[in-house]
Amino acid sequence: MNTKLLCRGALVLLAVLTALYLVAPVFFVIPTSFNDSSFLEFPPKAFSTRWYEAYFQDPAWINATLNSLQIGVWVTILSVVLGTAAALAMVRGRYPVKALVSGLVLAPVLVPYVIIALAVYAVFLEMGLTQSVLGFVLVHTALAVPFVVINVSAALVSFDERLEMAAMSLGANRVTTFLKVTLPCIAPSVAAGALFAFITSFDEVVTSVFLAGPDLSTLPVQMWSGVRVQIDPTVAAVSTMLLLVTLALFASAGLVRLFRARRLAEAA
Amino acid sequence: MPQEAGDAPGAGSSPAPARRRPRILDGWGLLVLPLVAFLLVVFVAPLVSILARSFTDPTTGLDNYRDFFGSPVYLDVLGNTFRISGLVTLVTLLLGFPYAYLMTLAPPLWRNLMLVAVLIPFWTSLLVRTFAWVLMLGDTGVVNQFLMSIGLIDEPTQLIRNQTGVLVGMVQVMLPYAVLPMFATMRQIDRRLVQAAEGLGARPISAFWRVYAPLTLPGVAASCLLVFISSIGFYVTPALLGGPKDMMIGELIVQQLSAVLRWGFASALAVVLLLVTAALLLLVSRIVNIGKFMGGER
Amino acid sequence: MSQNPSTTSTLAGTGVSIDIRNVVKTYKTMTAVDDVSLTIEPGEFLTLLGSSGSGKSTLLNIIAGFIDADSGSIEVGGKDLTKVPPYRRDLGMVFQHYALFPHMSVWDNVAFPLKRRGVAKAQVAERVQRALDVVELGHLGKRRPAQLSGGQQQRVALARAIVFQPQALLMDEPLGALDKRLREQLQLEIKRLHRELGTTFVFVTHDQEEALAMSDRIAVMRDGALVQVGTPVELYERPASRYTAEFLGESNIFTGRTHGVDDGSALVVRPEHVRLSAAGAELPSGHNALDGVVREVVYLGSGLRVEVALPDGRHLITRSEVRGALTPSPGLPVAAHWHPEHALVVRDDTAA
Ligand SMILES: Nc1ncnc2c1ncn2[C@@H]1O[C@H](COP(=O)(O)OP(=O)(O)O)[C@@H](O)[C@H]1O
Ligand SMILES: [Mg+2]
Repeated sequence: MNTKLLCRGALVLLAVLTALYLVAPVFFVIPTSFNDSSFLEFPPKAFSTRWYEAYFQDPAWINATLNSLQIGVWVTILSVVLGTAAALAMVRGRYPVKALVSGLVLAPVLVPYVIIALAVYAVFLEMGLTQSVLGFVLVHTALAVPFVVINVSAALVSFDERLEMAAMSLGANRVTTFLKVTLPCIAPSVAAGALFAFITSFDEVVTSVFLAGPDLSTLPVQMWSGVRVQIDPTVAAVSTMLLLVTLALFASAGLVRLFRARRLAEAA
Repeated sequence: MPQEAGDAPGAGSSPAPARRRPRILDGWGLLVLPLVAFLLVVFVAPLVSILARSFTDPTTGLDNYRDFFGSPVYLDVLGNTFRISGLVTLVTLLLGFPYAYLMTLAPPLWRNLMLVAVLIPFWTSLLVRTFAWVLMLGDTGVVNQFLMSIGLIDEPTQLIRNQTGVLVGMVQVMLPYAVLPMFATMRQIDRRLVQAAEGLGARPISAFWRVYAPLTLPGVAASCLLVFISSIGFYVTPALLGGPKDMMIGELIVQQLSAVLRWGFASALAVVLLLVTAALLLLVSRIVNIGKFMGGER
Repeated sequence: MSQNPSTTSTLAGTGVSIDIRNVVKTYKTMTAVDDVSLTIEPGEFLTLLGSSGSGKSTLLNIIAGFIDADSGSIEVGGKDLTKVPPYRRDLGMVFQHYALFPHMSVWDNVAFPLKRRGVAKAQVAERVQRALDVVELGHLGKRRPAQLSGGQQQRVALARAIVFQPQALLMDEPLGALDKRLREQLQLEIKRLHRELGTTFVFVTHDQEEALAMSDRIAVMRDGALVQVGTPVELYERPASRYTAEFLGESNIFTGRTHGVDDGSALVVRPEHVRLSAAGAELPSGHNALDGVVREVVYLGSGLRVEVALPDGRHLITRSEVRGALTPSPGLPVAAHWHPEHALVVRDDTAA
């Protein structure tokens, strides 16, 4: 009995340390970003927002941010359209070499990004697509689309096809049935896929570092160069803002789900 | 009027009437075409082009591969890659397995907190986290300060630009990918089996190792292999946290390209990395359904 | 339920006939519907009854248009619908698991078929309200389906299926997911709806009691084929085959071998027609009798169910009133007897 208790204690201690290890760096950045010193000491000696000011006053940072947003939005649209269509086909359609196609669609997640970056860079260099929004959008979409496919096909698999039969028996033709019944039912998963797609693009470093240049840079590329050679304290401020935005996005997605479940539970 | 779906492949194996497909769903197979075309152009064609390039640039033949396999320097990089990936996998398993196991035992509130702790790094930018490690593990970083204040060391130890830094950074990235599927596997296991074994006189610890652990084996093995595979292809973390002695193959590819413009050689490296990854993935797919595994995290 | 008859009568449809002609549907090697021909009369309540896998759902889905038959035709109201897609067949459908649209309110669910038909807004509101009133859910229009109980959900599904006054209503085990009490209550409501609407109802169930309680006529299916079609009384009292006799209600079966009748036939005696007398007592004249020993007595509330062990090892079931002439108890030697007119000779079709 005693050994069991001891084991449990050790287990809990290990888990607490692991949890700390997982979240510590994330929260460490926040106070650090309000540092007055360019050495980013911890704990900060004096409170200052100078790195935030530095960010907002530097056109390089602002342009990179705007580029990232623009690319992210296009990637989201493109991968939601391509991914949702493909998920529909993969779950319901009939077409040859199904297994091969599934492999192809998942492959961008499984192949190391360095390889994709090198390969795409080689081709895009010849086609003049490096340092162009289009180039970034194409590559990021390839990386992001599997997440849309995974999310949407999971929703389609659990979707009750009898709802479509019901809709048709009530007089809705195929198109109306899809738009009024199928699509609204899988919409939350499409939205989740869209969120993943956006963040995949917005966070993407490796392929972007290859494709970027003086003419076009993105936020991760800018951060990369701010860490790689010599530490640019502005990165701390950018990191904090990024953190808060992504955490807020995911948390709100989670809260919406929680809220919906709560409301249903209350009424039932 | 389109044909009814009754003669669809696999229809005969699903007697449940609920799964019978209404006719509206026919012909939707065409919808996969745009994505397939897109990936063929943006993803497959470039891969094929570097495959070709690895045999033709600068000379036609196997020179690039001969160079790689004939040079101890480059083989060292391959060795580093496997060593670091192996260590990352090991540490991830040592931290992740107990963590996932405790999650199955914890009451719901605590379980959710543990889940959030796993998801937070999962949700936050890789660069942000790597940047944080750079600050925390530096000579004047909090970790060194802490170690000195408790008297464990007298002067700062080097924690980044070496293997320690790479491990710290990579394990943190990989842990969520290991914990979530392991937790999913463990949750399926009936804990009463362990209790039954204890009831039959087995001591708790031996009941755990003899009854519970073997049941988790397929899920754990698959997680570990996936961690290993992902680790091999890492670039960002080792580039920022590792030192020159611990160069991994991803860094070598970038270095060969950007520093010396050896396109053909970089391509050959990429092909080697791709083949290793593909071979290991084949191994995983023997154990689990990869697609399901990747989507396992909600 | 609404007591106002005008509420329902404004939703009333006109019953149409449904002609099923030589319908066949085969899956790989298995024949799900085996050359079924059946005419359903206008305004009739017809039940497809059969055990699980007997092809009921397949046949119903062929009528609804979700499945194409390999051969044969479906006519509704004299019009051939074989090539008409489901959304133009104008048949209401109710599913076992309700199939309510989870993202719409109850109200929007019921309004759905009206909107598809371009009914004017004011009229939609009126008809939705009326349909919900008919199923006594007029006050729950704003709820989501997930916020309703199973019974309420099925009522919404009913309202949704009748609101557009379909030519006929098809129901695939609509009460299968409900518990017994709710099931019986909804049986009554569906029956009442049928009476008030006058629409043709095709109802699928594997529950023989439900079929007997609700139907004008029952079509018994087995392995995809129709075994017998008739009113509940006909089927119960004049089963054409041993299968029907055993499927509907309890039966005592005596095969030819034991009773000296020709092979290929069986004798059916319903338990309520078997009476018990003390062993050796005088029996009503002309009765057939078997001697045995009471093996088990079950008190059913409304009566007794008594199992009598026969000397040859088989047993016989009787139902009797609690306060009969004889109080059976286990071990009591008795004579079980019945009037020959209650012994039916039927085809023995269960051997195969
Ligand atoms: N899509 C299908 N593919 C193959 N067999 C099927 C399919 N649908 C139904 N069946 C088979 O047809 C038979 C009749 O099924 P069904 O009509 O659903 O029976 P019921 O509704 O009476 O339970 C069953 O044996 C079932 O296994
Ligand atoms: Mg059925």
